[in-house]
Amino acid sequence: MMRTFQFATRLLATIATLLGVSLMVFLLMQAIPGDPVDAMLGERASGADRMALREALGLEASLPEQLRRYYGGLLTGDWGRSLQTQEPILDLLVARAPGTLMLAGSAVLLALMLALPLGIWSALRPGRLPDHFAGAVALTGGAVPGFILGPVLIMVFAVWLGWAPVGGADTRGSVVLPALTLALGMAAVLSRQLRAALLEVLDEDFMRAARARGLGHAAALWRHGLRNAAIPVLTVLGMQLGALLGGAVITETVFSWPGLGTLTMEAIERRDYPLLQGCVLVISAAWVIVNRLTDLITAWCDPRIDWSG
Amino acid sequence: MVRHWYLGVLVGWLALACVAPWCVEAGNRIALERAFAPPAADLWLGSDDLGRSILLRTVAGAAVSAPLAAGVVLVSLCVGTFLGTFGAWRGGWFDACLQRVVELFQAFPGLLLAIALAGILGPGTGNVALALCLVGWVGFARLARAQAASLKSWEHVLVARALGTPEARILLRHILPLLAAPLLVEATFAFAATLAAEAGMSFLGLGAQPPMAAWGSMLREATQFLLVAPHMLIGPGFAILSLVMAMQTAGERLRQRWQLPR
Repeated sequence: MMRTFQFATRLLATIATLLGVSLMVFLLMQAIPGDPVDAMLGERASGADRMALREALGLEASLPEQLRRYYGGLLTGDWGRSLQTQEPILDLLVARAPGTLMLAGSAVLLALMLALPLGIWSALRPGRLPDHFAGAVALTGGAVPGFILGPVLIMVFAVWLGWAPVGGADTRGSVVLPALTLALGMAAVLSRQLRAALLEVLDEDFMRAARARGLGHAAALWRHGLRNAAIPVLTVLGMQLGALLGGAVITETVFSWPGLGTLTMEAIERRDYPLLQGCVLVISAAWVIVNRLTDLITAWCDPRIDWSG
Repeated sequence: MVRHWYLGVLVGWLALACVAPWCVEAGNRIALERAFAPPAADLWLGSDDLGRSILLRTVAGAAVSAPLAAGVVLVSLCVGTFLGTFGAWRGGWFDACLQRVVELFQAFPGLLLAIALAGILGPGTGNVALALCLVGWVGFARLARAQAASLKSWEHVLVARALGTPEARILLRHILPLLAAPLLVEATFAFAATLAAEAGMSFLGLGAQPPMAAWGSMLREATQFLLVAPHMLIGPGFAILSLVMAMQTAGERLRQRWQLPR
């Protein structure tokens, strides 16, 4: 019963956050300096074109009326049309979303594959050579921005070794390099988090008890250690996944990966502000939902977590 | 000595930033006959598509990217600390509003918000700085609020209050000095993050415009000619990486020294 109540309040809070986020995106569009029609069409556009765009965007209406239309459109699925291609914005977003989802999913998978061994290895030998090595790898991995790592990976794996394509999404292997670019930074943070969580858990009484019952080191680690260390790691993973959605703009641009990030940049370059609005809205909403889902999963893993906060 | 490598890197870049203004003109000098020249004894990091010296442009970039990041962090630090401390001290509706706004900003992916804002405002370093400030103050406000809220009930503050010390004096003399350490550590990490964010936005073409040499826009040019002249990556890539890593390490060491929680 308590759980259901808490769940309902969390859901309401999430909806409130989404409302706030969409309001911010609306206000963002009010930040266009000068006349938005000038900004979109350029100053040499004809009077008729200007009037038509003004009409289409509903700029003549008062601010509250614009806001009402904005939310009305959001809820009914009418997100407006792209200024450039005249296609419905929602269609464009739906067409590009799978690209970003696939990239993000592959990145998370790769990050876990890298972070788990690295984190466990350094937690088992704290302060020794493997630990220092893993720490140095994590420091470097965490500090390299995607726009440096991406081109370096392209040089090494696409140009010199020829193992993967330079960019685009034409072949199956094209996702590897952009996913790796995103994954390295994530793996750096995750492995450090896992190391810290494991070191804490390894010191607990139940671990000593497990060893005393005759469980081997690896078995104790597997059965009791990792499970208890998973929660802080999961939290960080959720935060990282959210950050990844925002940072994907740069990585997708480096690799010309067809996703929401490149769509955002196309919208900016073509001054297609209604489309930009849609992109920012979708990515931010995804980030809110991912963060809330993470809360949910961690609470489900560990019943002790107070959920109401 | 090896332990304090980051200090060497920071001092080195500070020195380079000081000589940077004298490199701008030479770094912008076009010499098409040596376009894409690979690194050589007389041209250490090679030249770019217009035959400009990458070494000189990298040094010149130190006077663009680093001061911009420092400025953004300074403004964010001041605004965030002021709002956070004031909110915690006063409480009431101001604090409630502040907390909602902070939560709202945190519900946004910061880099995306900055990119969209800079995209709307138009390209240029000024707009990038503005966008980063708008996103940057939130972290400081949250930290300052949390710290100040707990300091508020510390005994020395209660005593100062009981003695009738003016509020402004309590905030400045009894609360702010205790906030300094965590805020400084946060600022160090924020500098690294802001530097990377600025470079990323310049990489996307939102920041410094040609012919200005900023590290991010140099990397943008480098990726365009990646197959012809991969050496173009080295200068700006090393610059960003070394500075970001040095600042992160500095922040980590400060945190350990002052025994602050993560």
